[in-house]
Amino acid sequence: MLGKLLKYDLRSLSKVLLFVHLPLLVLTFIIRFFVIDTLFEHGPDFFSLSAIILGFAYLVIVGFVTQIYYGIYVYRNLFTDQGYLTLTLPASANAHVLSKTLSGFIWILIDQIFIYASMLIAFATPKVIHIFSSNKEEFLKSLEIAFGMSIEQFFSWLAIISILGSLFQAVIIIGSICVGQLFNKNRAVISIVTYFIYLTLIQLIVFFYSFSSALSEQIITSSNTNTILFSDSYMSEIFMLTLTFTVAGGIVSYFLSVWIIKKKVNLH
Amino acid sequence: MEMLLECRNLSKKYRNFCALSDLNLSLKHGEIVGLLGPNGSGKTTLIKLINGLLSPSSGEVLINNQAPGIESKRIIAYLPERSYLNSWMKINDIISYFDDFYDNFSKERAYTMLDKLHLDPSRRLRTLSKGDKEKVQLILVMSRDADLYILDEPIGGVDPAARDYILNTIITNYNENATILISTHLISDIENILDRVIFIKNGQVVLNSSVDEIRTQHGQSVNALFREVFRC
Repeated sequence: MLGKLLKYDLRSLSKVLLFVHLPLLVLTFIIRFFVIDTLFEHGPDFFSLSAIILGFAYLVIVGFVTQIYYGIYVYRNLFTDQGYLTLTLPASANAHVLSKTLSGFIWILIDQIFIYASMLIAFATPKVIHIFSSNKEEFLKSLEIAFGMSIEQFFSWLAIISILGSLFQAVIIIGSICVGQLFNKNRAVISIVTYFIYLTLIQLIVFFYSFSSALSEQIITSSNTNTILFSDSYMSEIFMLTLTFTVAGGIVSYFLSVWIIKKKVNLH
Repeated sequence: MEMLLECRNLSKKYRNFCALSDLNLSLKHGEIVGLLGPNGSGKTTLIKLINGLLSPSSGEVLINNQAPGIESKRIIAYLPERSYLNSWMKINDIISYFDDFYDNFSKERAYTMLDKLHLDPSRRLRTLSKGDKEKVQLILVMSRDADLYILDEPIGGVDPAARDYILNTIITNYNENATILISTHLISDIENILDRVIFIKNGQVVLNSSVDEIRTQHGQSVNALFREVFRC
């Protein structure tokens, strides 16, 4: 049953999200073939700057649209008129939540891959690679100093956060939508508020941790250059903290969603 | 005889409003039952509770002695009073969808009924009229070999000419051992196919009787008795 639910969830999401992501590819190739090399050769002009701004704006928009559309899809499919069909299918509450989680995970991850790949395709032209290669040591060293970890460690963290983040982001969206169902009125608004309360809470925790870490001198201020440097463990700890709260929130959100769909559903 | 459906002391409250109050009801196999009552009497609430789309405030619903869940959803074919299908889907797609999810769905029966109602399976649902959408939903429900059919206002949105075909579809497309629970306002249209009627008022059952008993004991048609019981 899970396979069938997943098939239809992915089909419904892909109908819109593929369409949303395709322009990103077009923009990426325009920037790669008509902008980046010109920018390095002749400096910025109106066309190149506009294309880059548009490209970055679309990167941000596409990420938002993916998550917003996914949230709308889950809400409509489970708790509006479509829910009269979805929730009367012979499938368990767990199968519904798992299917929605996996379909959301797949699309949020595809979205992240699209974004990273677009940036790589757009900027890694032969000229840029040549410039990077000739200054590779210096460039990597400056990145290591900035992040407080080796470049391999940084990208490993990025990969872990992207994969687990996509998975638990989907669960947290489902959980927020399900929490809205516990109320009689303004369910959609309550779902959105729940989601933002959760995000704010995580940001606050990470912020206060960063602040206390700075006080306990994990951030080192270089006396020569007056620049702020991170200690070796600082960024890892921030990443780990963010990940721990995302995973913990996701697990709570998953079981809460199953419980609400099983015991507390009240379709209007 | 084991009951197909039992509602025991079932109540559903919305804040200060009591939609169902301590309702007791049982349905056995092989009946066509009319669930009748004025607007706001609790018919749709009861139907949604049976289908697990609402959680009861107190009491319980049992289908084959089990609370609503996967097993009950396998054997109940439910037609809600609203359109629940994705409008971008073609009729063909939605038939494949039902075929995928329900073991007891007959594609052949669905296509035969579509043909008889002159509905083109390649059409998208958003291009259909409200009445045609209702016909498609009814076809989907009646193409299942279910134990309990629950039809909430199945003929409310279709023209009188199609009603006869639809009612005929209902009574010719279910097995004799199955039960059909029909909720409607159009009593005179369905009266002839009913075995039993349940009158529901203010969330409580006020009459649960066979159509024959009503005719012999009250000397009235169901329609006439309904008008008398629910006179404003």
